[in-house]
Amino acid sequence: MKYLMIILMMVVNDLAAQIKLSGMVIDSNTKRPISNVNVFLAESDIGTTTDVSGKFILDLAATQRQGHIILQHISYKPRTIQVDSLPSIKMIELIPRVIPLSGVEVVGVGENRQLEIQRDLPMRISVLNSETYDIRGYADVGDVLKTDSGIQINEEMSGKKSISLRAGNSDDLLFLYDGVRLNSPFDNSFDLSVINLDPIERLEIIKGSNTTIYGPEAFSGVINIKPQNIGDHLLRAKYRTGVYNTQDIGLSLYKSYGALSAFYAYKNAAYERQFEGESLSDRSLENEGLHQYANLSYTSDKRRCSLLVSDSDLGYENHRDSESDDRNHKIGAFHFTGNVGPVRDIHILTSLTDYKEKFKISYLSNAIERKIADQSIQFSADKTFSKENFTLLTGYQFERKNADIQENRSALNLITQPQTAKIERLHHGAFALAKINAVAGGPFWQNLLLEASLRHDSVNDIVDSLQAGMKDSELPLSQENNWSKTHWKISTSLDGYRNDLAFLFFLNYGGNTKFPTLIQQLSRAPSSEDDASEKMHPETLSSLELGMDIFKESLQTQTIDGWHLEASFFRNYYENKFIPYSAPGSPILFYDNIPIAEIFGVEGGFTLHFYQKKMNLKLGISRYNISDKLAFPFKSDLKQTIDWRVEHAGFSFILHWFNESEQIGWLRTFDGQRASVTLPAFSNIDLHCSKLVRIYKLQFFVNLSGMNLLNSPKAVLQGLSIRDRRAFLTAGFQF
Amino acid sequence: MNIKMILAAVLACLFLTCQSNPFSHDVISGERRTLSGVITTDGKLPLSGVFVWLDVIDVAAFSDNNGNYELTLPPRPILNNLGQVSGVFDLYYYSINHKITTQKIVLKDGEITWGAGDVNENGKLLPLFLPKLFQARTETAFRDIDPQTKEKLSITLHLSTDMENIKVLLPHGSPVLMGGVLIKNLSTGMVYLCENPGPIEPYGEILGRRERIWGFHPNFKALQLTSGEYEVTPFIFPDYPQLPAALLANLGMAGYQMNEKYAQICFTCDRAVFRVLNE
Repeated sequence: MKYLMIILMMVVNDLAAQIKLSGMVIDSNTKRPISNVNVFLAESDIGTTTDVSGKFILDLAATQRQGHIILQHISYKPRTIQVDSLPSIKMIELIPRVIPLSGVEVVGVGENRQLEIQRDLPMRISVLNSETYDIRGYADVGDVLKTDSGIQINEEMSGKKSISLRAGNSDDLLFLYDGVRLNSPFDNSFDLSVINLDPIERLEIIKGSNTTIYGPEAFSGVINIKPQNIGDHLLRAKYRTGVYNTQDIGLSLYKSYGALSAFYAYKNAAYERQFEGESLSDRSLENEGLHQYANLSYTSDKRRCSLLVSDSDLGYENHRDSESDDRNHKIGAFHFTGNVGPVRDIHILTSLTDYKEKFKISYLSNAIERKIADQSIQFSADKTFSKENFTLLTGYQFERKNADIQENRSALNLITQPQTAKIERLHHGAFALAKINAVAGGPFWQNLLLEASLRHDSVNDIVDSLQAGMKDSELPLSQENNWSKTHWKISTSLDGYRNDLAFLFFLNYGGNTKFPTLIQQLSRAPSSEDDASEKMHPETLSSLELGMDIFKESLQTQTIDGWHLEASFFRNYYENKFIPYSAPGSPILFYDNIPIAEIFGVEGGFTLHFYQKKMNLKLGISRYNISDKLAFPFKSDLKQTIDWRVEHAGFSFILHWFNESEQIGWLRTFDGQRASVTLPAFSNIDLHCSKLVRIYKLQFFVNLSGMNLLNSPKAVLQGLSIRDRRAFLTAGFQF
Repeated sequence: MNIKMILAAVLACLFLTCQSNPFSHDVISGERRTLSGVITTDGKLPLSGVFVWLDVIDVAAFSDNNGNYELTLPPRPILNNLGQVSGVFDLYYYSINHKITTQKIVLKDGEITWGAGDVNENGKLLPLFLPKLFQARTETAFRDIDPQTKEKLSITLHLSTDMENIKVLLPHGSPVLMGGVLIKNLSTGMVYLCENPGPIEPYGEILGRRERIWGFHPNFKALQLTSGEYEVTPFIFPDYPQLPAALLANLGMAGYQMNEKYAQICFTCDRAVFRVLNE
C-alpha cells in the first residue's frame, strides 16, 4: 500500500460512552479532499458524508469499537477500515475507479451532486471540474473550454472571446451562469472573457440542441457556468504572472454557520502587450479586469436557497489606435429548490443581469463612439412530479430583455446622424417532460428510459431604430414582431451495469427554434410597403443524436485499470439560417437567408487509465460535415486532441496536444460571386505542471503552464492568446 | 517535515518576491492590417509609382523606387459596422502603360487573412510582374523656348505596341489632337496642368505596331512657366472597362478629371524635355 501516503490529522476523542471519530478523506493521487463520501459503520445505519473539505465527524457508541467503517464514493474504490485503527490514519486516501460505483446515492451536503441538465433528455455532457483548471494558467472560461475537442474559439485583440460548438456559429450557443441566460439580445452572442474563472465550480458543456429545460437559442449546445457556493477553505489567495506582463491576484473567503454559508471572491487581473516597432508612448495595449462575486446560501434537508451577485469591470485601452472599451457586467440571481409547504420539489429562479459597454476609437479622420446597454429580467419555476417509474417535469420561464445601442460615427468632416437601435423582447416559455422507466433492475440492464417533451415559446419584440444610411431611407424604423413555436422531442436511453462493465446508450430527436436577433431584424428592415408584408421567420432546427458510453474496468491487471469509450453521432438540419453581414464603411446591413443547411458529425473519446488512475491518456476526435460553408464559415471540420495526465503524490502533469484542421469558408467577392477561402490548419501543445503541498492546515499550490509551445521562439507574437506561445506561473495558498 | 518546511518557505518567498514579472516582455505584431509587396516589370526592374488600391475599403499607396509598397487598413472597428466585414476584395495595381492587374485579399471579420488569396503565410503579397503594354514618347518642336517670342508649345505624342487589342483613352482628345499634358519643372517638381477645353469625353483608339501620332498646341503664355527645364507627360489612360470608378476618384480623377497626382502614377514614357530661357 505504498500509494497510501499519510499526511495529516485525525482525532479521536475517547469519551466514556461515546467515541467521536473525525477524519479527512483525500484522493490518493491528487491529494485533494473528496466531498460527499459516504462514511458509515458496517451492518448499521449509522453514517455521515464528508463535507467540501473532505472532513467528516461520526459519533459511535463505545461498544462499536470493534466494528468496521466503510467509505464509499461513486468514483472511488470503497474502503473498509477498522474503527480501532482509524485514529492512527490521519488522512484517509481513496483510490479512484474507472466505473462509477452503482448504488451509491449521495444526499448532497449543500450541493446536489446531480447536474440540472440530468433532469432533461439524455445528451452528451462534458463536465470540466474546477480541479482541472483552478490553479492552471488559464486566463478565462474560454481558455478552459478550448481544450474540448468539439469547441473552436475566436479571440479579438481586446481580449473578447467567442466560441462555437459542433461547427455551429458563435450565436448558436446558449450561455448560462447558474441557470441565468447570458446571451445578448443584440446578436445572441456572449463574450466569455467577462466571467471570472476563479469562483467557478465547474463548466458544463452540453452538446446538442435537444434540451427542453433550456429551450430555444441552444442550437449547437449550452455552456452552463456553475459558480461556487461552498468552499473547502476559509481563505484562499492566488497569484498569477506570465507573458504580456500578466499580474492577477485572486482572493476568496468562505465561512459557514450551520445551514448558512457565505462565499466571496475577488480578482484583479491585468496584462499589457506592446506593439513592436512603435514609439514608446503609443505602443501599449492594456487590459484590466476587476471581478467580485458573492454568494449567500442556506441549505436544509427540505430546501436550499442561494443568492448570488457577480460584478465584473473590464477595461481595454489601445494607445496606438486611440481605442478604448469599458465593460461592466452584473448578475444577480436567487435560486430556490425544495418544498414550499405541502408542495414538493419546486425550483424557482429569478435573476437580473445588466451589461454596459462604452467603446471609442479614432483613427485618422474616422471616429466611432458606441454605447451598449443590455438588461434582462428572468423568472423561471419548475416542478417535478414523480411516481414509481414515472417522472413528470413541468416548468414556466419568463424573460424580459432590453438592448439599447447608440453609435456616433464621423468620417472626414462628415458627421453622420447618430444611429440608435433598441429592442424590447418578452419571452414566455412553457414545457413538460415525461420520463418512464420501462425496465428497472435486471442482472445487467438497469434502466430503459422512454422520454418525451413538449415546449412552447412565444416572443414579442418591439424594435425601434434610427439608422442613417439604412436601405435608401433615413426614416426611423419601428416594428413589432410576434413569433411563437412549439416543438416536441423524444428520446430513449438504456443502461447496463456489471462489476467491471458499465454501458449507456441514448438516442434523442427533436426540433428547436431561434428567434431573430436585433441585428437580424435590422438587416431585414423593409424599405417599402410590399416588403413589410413579408414576415420574417425564425430559424428552426431538427436534430438527431445517437450516443453511447462504455466503461470497462480490468480487475486483474495492475498496469491498466480500465478504459472509457464515448461516441456520438449527430445530424443537425437547419432551416432558414440567417447570415447578416455589412459593407465596409457603411452602416447598411445585409442578410443572407440560407434556406437549408446541414451539419452532421461524429465525436469520439477514448480514455485509458493506468496505475490506479495515476496516469490517464485521453484521445478525442471530432469530425464534422458542413453542407453550406456560407452559413457556417471557417469551422474546423476535424479536431483531434490528446491529453496525457499524470497525478501522483500531489504532483500533477498535463500534456495537451491538439490539431485543428484547415478552416474553409465561402466569402463574397464584392462583385457578388462566392469564393472559397481556406485558412491553414493549426496544431500545438500545452503543458501544465503543478504541485500541491499540505502543511498542517495550510495548503500551498504552485503551477507552471506553457501554452502553444510549438510556436517558433523567434516569431513575433501576434497578440492573440489562443495562438501565441505563453507561459504562466500560478502560486497560492489556502487554509 | 523539514523538506516540506523548506519547500513552503521557498514557495512563500517566490510568492512574495514576484512583484515584477519574471518573464520577458514580449512584443506583439497586433492585428493584421498591413499589406506589402514588391512590383517589378518582367521580374527585374522595379516599378515605382504603381498605384495600389484596395477595392471597397478604398485605401491606397504608390510603390516606391524599389517597387515596394505598403498600405495599412483602418482598425477593425472602423471597418466593421454593427455587422462584420468579411469577404474577398480586389487589390488593384494601376499604371498607365503596364498591365492592370488585381490580386485577391481575404478579409475575415475586418482583418487580413494570411495564407489566403494572394497573401502568403508571412503576410506578404505574391511578387508581381507587370509587363509593359505599349511604348509612349512625347516630343516638343523646340528644345529651348524663349518666352518673349513663342506663344504656343508644339507637343506630339507617339504611341505604338507589339500586342493585340491595346486601347488607350485620350480625355478631351480626338483622332488628331490629344487632350492634355502635365508639365513638370524638373528642378522644383512643380506640376502644371494643361488641358484642352471642350468635352472631356475621352477619345479611344486601339493601338498597333505602326506608331500613331497626336498633336497638342497649348497656349504657352497662359502657363506662365518660369525659366528652367521641363518634362512633358501626356494625359492618357489605358482602357480597362472593369476598372472601378472609385479607383480614379481616390486619385481625384473621377471622370478623367486632370489632377497633379497623375504625374505620380507609373508611366514608362520617353518624356520630352524643353528649357524655358531667362526672360
